[in-house]
Amino acid sequence: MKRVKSKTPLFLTALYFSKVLTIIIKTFFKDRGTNMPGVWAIKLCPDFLSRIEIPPKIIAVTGANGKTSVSNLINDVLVANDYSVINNGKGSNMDTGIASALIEKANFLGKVKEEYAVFEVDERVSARIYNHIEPTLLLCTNLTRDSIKRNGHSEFIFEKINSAIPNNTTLILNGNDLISSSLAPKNKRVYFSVENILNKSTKNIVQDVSVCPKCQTKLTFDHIHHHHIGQSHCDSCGFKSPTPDFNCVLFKNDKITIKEKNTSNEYNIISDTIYNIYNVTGAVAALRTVGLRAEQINNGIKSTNLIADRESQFKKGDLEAITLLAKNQNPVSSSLALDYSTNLDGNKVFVLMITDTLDKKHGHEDISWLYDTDFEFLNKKNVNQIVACGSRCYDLGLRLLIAGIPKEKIILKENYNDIEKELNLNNIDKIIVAYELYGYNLAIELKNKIIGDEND
Amino acid sequence: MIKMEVLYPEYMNLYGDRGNIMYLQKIIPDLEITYTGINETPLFTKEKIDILYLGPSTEKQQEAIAEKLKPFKEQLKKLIDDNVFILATGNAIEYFGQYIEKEKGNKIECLKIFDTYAKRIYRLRHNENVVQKVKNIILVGFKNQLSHSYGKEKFAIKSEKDETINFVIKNNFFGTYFLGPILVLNPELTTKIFKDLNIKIDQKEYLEMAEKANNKRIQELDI
Repeated sequence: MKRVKSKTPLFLTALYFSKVLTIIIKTFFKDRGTNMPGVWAIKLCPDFLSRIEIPPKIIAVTGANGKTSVSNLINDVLVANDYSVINNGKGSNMDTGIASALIEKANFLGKVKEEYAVFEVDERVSARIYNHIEPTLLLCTNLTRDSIKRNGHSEFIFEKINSAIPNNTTLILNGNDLISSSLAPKNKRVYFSVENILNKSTKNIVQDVSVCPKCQTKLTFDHIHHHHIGQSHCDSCGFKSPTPDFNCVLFKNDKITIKEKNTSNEYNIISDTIYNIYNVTGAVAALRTVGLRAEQINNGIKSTNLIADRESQFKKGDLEAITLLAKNQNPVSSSLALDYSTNLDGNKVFVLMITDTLDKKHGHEDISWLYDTDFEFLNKKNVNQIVACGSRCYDLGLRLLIAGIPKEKIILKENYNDIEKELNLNNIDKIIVAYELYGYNLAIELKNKIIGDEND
Repeated sequence: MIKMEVLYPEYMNLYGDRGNIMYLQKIIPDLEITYTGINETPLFTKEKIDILYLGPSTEKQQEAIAEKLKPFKEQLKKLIDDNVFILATGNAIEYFGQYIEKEKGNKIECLKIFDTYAKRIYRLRHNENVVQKVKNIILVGFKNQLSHSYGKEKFAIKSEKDETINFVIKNNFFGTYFLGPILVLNPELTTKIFKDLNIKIDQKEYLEMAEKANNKRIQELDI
């Protein structure tokens, strides 16, 4: 799509330089340094994103939790249906990552021939992207408390997104989240919701919204999935959650049913966790809005390999090892991971590698988030042993004690060496290794030591 | 029975603040906690309390809270004079000053108990792991500020780096921009506070673990 701003010599220089850089990186460094072309393009030409051509349809995905999964899913469904797509899934979700994705596909005149772009966007850089690229659709998965360091609080992030949304962008919003559902109220909008289809309600120790945003009266929740995510109303002033355009009303035989205006369709899901159901429902709302049919979406969902890096299962005899991402410093993501894994069948051992290995270089790691995270979920009979690792293991130990977990079940280990020697696997069905964002390799290493690496 | 009141928990709970409450619940065996909602009348207006807790909130919520607190100015002043332990973490410290100046210059009037004022400057969002020696105790914590306090208050303790205020400590009023579970993070401070208050803290299991966590942190910080 032609842009309002012209292709100046400065822009073309930035484009040529970054194109050449892309080729060099691809040839010699494979997947490393994929962000560099965008970094240089924007350094050389600060409004690069306003000048490079973009596909006619842009779907941006943002939010506190689930944005990577949802943008990958939307991308995979479009690709599976033979649409040509530019996507920043392999790079960063900042302006530089989006620039890199465009540079890779653009020719030396700055033209792209793809029909779609699907961009995952970090909430904090909203303005740096939407000031240059107006999304056709902007999907916000949810806004909840997140890493304090990165995001401050959800009202701060709300303002960051809200002030950057272009007037003509259609919003795809989570009707079960009273924070993000009130983004840009004048914009055209489509709401998606999930009813109480799992017959499960999780009570968390923190909740970002518990009183009516209009009159401060305590909200009545008709149902609540977790934290403040659910359907609610105010008995005092009549305020209520928005009416959904895409409503997930049924979960049966590993499929969900999503009701929309004149029809209702069944969709495959990737896993039966509530967050995955939200991810699929949100993606369906976006894909249906751009005109895909339900069967096209289902074909795409079948082809996706979405969760491999976030949650993996390995088996050796009767022992199962599960590696699970629990985003460090993000109490909502971590609580969801703990809720899911502690409710699995069988006797379990947990290894917690969830404090930030990289944060140490800043002196010491902030531990506030441990007290917004529901470690109480680990206080179950069939959680037999918990090994907490890393320099913050004593902070974790104290948190576990406060959660009521008997101290005999807790093992604290300052380092990550020889963890397997600490494990008591008698009568254990599952070992769950919860790891933080940068701890995947540590988790896999431990898994390999316990049950081998044949089934990777 | 030790009576603790937690004010407006729907709003004043942003960054692991519950940690302080959960911890006190474990180490003070006869602690009775009252949570007072944003539309309820505070317990301290009706009966004697021993501990009052105010945590940080978002900026919009802060405005609503400042309004709610106004009628209780004299009672809060009296609590401070009566040596009641008041813990105000994060931007909750700002209610006790003169005013909060918003980004566009308009002001939110506060309780005017201390000679401090706060200014919101979003582009200077401040994020820091902090270590500061206060009254001979090394305190560690974390700050995340969209606003900063200034002023000539004699009970204020400034940051070691600039003119911004980090603490206001008068009698048993302990206001700090350190946020989240500061009582959990700082066992020496917690021990001193409750010793001064003559409130018994107990339960070795928890106290020892807090000590170990603190030692490890101090060792890493190399101070």
